[in-house]
Amino acid sequence: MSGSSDGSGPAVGGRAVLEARVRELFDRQAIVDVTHAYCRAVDRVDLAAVRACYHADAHDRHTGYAGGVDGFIDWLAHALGSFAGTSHAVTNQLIEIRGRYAFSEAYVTARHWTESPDTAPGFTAGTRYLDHWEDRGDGWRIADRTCVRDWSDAHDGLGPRSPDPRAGLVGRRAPDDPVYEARVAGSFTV
Amino acid sequence: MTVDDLLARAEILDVLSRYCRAVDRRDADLLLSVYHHDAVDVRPYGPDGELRATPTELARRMLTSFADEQSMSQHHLTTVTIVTDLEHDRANAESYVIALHPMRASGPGGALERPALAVTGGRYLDDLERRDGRWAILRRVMVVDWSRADLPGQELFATLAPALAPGIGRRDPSAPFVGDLTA
Repeated sequence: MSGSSDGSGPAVGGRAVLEARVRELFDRQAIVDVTHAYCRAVDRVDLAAVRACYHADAHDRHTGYAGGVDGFIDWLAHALGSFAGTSHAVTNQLIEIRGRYAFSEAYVTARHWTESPDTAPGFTAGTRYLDHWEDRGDGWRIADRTCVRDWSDAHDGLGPRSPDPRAGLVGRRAPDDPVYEARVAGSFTV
Repeated sequence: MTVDDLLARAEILDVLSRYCRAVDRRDADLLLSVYHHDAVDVRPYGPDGELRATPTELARRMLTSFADEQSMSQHHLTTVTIVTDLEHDRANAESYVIALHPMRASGPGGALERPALAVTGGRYLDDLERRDGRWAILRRVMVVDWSRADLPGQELFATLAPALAPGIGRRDPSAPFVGDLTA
């Protein structure tokens, strides 16, 4: 963006700016990588790899759990036990970086299937991860994750709202959606 | 590919992703930030076959066409192709979109007896321009590739404007846009 107009390279004095912007490209890629690593780890039920996506003192507010990462791993292990498999597919991810802090919103289609689809049909949930990230010198990790559900095709009825309170946060219009509050919360300031 | 290309592509990807947040949250200010003020948005449906809108009209339509405040949407972007022309501060982008609209039952005798999930697969073809260092959409054309046949999306698919209907090879609206796939 700060290149010279003839495209031959950075303008004089622009090198520091260019380096900072390239640094941001690396940071963005690292955040995307961890976001994908989380999905892969959950779907492969590799709990150590799930944990590695978080800082040790991280907080996770999921669909049915809210608390520290140790408790989250326990909850996840139990929850995954009720499915024959899951697939968490990330599509668009909007990332904002401020120094060693970042905030991202990732769209995720989370499919859950069972061994006995007749009695336990499983479900697909349209989800968003609202993540606060920190790089404390050993790479970008999640410091705080909030999971929001926009839709679900669970057998209790297709639709954006599940009556089950364990469904957790649901998507809303601006300015009531959790993304607006989450984005300015904690260490990430606009 | 240069570092400037990479930076431009990252910024353009941000624009595309911000659009999704804007429409899914019905955030008019955010939507306007995605387009230049003189931009045009073209959809392959509507009473005249094609629906053209300025960013302001698009924002108004977004806020009124989903009057039910419970109605939600999720716009997922997947395969994104970006072709930059940095010398002229221009770029083209084709992004695949999967749009999901959970629909509530409309009661006895209504159009929907049960809640349903309408799913549409399409692509956004965008002309983008960088003005004062800011990338934004100058023209967006949406192509609809498919929709769930057993859900209300079928009606939409049947009314697509012929010029914006998906096609094979160079007959597809994207061919003159992001180039020949075999080149």
